[in-house]
Amino acid sequence: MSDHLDNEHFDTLIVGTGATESIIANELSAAGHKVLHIDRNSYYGGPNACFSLSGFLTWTLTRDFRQVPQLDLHIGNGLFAIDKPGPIESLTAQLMTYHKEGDLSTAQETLDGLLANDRAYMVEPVPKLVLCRGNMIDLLVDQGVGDFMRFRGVDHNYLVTRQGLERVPESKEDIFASTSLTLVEKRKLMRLMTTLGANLEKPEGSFSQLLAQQFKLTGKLHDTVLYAVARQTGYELSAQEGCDRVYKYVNSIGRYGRMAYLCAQYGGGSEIAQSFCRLCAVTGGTYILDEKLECIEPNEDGFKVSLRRGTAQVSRIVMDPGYYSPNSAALDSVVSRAVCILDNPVLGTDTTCVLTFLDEGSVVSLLYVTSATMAVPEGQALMYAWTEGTIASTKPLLQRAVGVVAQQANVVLSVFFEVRELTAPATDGIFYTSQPDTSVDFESTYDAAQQVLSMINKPDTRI
Amino acid sequence: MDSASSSTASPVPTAPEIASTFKILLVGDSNVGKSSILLRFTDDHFLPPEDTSATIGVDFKVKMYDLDGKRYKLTLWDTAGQERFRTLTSSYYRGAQGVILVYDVSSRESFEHLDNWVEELNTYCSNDDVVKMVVGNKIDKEAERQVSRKDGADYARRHQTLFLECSAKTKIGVQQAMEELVNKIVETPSLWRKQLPSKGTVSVDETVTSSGFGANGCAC
Repeated sequence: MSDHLDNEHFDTLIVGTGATESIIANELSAAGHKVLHIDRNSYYGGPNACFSLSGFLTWTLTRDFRQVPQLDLHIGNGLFAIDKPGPIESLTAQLMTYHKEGDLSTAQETLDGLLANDRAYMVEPVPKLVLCRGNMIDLLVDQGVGDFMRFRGVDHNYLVTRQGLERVPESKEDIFASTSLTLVEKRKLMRLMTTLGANLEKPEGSFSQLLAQQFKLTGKLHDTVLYAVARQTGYELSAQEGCDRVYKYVNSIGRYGRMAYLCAQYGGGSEIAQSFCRLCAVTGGTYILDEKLECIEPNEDGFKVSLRRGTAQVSRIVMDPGYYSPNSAALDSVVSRAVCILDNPVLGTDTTCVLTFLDEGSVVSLLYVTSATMAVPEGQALMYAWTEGTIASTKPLLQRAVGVVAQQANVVLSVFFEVRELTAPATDGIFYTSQPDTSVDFESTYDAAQQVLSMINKPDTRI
Repeated sequence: MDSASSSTASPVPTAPEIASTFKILLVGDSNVGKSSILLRFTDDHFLPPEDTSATIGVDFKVKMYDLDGKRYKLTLWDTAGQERFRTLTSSYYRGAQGVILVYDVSSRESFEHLDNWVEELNTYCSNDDVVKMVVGNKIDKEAERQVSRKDGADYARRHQTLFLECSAKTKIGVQQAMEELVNKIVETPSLWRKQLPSKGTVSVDETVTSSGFGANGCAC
C-alpha cells in the first residue's frame, strides 16, 4: 500500500491525537466510519503527550507558542526564559542561549548529568489521573485497554498549607484510626460519607455552604472535603456538583485498592491516547504523524483536504482547536503549570500522591510521582503543580507549593509555563474539541469526547 | 475477592499451568505478509490475496505453545496497518520479548527498509535483550525473487538476529520460525523474569472489577 494519499475518501478526518481526539477516533471507527487521523507532531498524544527528558526540553523549544506563550526553565539557580522557538540540533547549547540569570556553567553540568539518564524520565506537560470509578476507567475496561496498560494506585491524598502536609482520610477505617481528628469531627465525616454515598435530594446553593450548614464542617475539615475531595478549583461548586464529586470519589475507593485514583505507568494521557489510536487502527483507521494540514476546501461532499502526503476527500472534520483555524481564539482561561525534578523522593520512593495546596484563597493541585510509575530514575521524584492564572501572577504561588512539599529535597530542574485554552465553535461539518483543564483526572477529557460525539451523531448535522 | 484459584476457574482441569506469557510483535513494510504469517501460525489459514489488502480487525492473536513440559502463552501482535505511514505507537513495542522483522523476498525495497524497522525497534523496545528474528516471506514466488537467501542471512548476522525464510502461503518455515524464536526467548530468562508486573501495579482487566462489566464485556 502506498505511503501517499491519492484523494482517498474518508468519513471523518480527525486532527490531533490528544486523548480526547483519540477516544473520538476509536468510537467512530468502531461504529463503522472510515477514519483518517493525523497529528502535526512526530509523536502521539498532542496536549497529553509524554516525553523523555530531552523530548520534554525539545517540546519547550518547539511548542505551540500561541497556546503556551510563556515558559521559564530553571536549572539549579540558572534561569532560562524560552520566549521564542529554537532549532533543536544541539539541545543543550540551544537552551543555554536563553540564559537570563544565575550560574551558567553549573546549569550546563546539571543538565548534562540529568540527560545521561534521559530515557528514565517520562514527563507529561499536562499529567492526569484516572478515577477508579468514573467514565474513563469504564471506557478503558470496556474497550479492553487493560491489555495494553498498567496502573498504580495513588497512595495518598494530602491537604497542604504553609504549616505542612496532612493526609486526607480515605475510608471509614481511616477516619476511625485518625489521631488528628477529634471525636466530633469523626462523627461529622462519617455522617458526610454515609449521606453523600446515597443520593441527596437536589440541594440548593453552593457546596461550601452545604458543608458548613448541613454537615457543620468548619476550618480544615471543611477545606479538606471541598478542595482535596471535591477538588474545587477556579469557580465555586454548586451543592449538586460537589455532592456528585464526593459521591464519585467515595465510590472509587476500594475498587482497585484503597485509593480513589490510578496513575498509569509510563505517562497516562499518552498511553491512553495511543491505546485508543491502536484500537482505531485495528478497526481500519489510517494514521499519519508529522503531517501538515495545508488546506481545507469545502465542497458538496464535505471537504477536500490537502496534506503533505497527498489529498483526501472527507465528509467531516474533528479538530483540536490548537491547530490552525480561523475561528479559534484564546479563552480567558489560563492554567499555569510547573514540572519539577527533585533530587530526593521526599514523599516515598515508590509512592504516588495527589496533593492540594491552599494558600491565601488560592488552590494549587500537585501530583508527586516516582520511579514506581517509571516517571524518573530511582532516587528522584517528579512534582507537578498547577493552578489557574497567568505565570506572571502565579509563579511565586507554584514555587511556594512545591517548596512546602519538597522541603527536604533540592529542585534540580523546573519548568514553569502557562497554557491558554483555545476554543472554536462548531461550523458546518467541522467540530472542535476542547483542551485540557485544571482537573486532576480524565473525567473532563471523557466528557469533551462525548460532547463532540453527540454533536456528530445528532440527526440534523451533516453526515 | 481473589479467591478464584486457577484450578477451579479453568474449564479444562488437565491443562498445564501457563509458565509465562510472551509478547511477540510482527513489524515490516505493508504487504510483506505479516498478517498472513500470523494467521498461518495461529489458525493454519491462508487468505487469498484479494482478502488481505489491508489488515482490518486483527489486534493480536493468542496461541499456546508447549516446550519441555511447560506451556507458554504467546500473544502475537499485528501492526493494525499502522506501518503504512510508520506510525506504530511506542506502547506497541513496550514489553515485547520477541520481534519478527518481515520482508518480502520478491521486493528489494521491503528488504532495504529493514534498517528503518531495526532503528525504530532500538528506539522503543524497553528491553535490550529482546529476541529479534529476520524473516524473508513469500519464497513461493521463487521466480520473482529479488533478495537472495544469502543477502537475508548476511543482514541477520550483521544485526545479530535469528534468520529464516518462509512462505505463509505454502506453510514452509512458518512453524519453524516461531519455534526458534520462542526457544530463544525461553533460553533468555532475563527477558521474561523481569517482565513480571512489579509489585503494586494494578491491571484493570475485567476480572478485578467488582461489578458492571461482565455482562456486556463478554465477546462470546
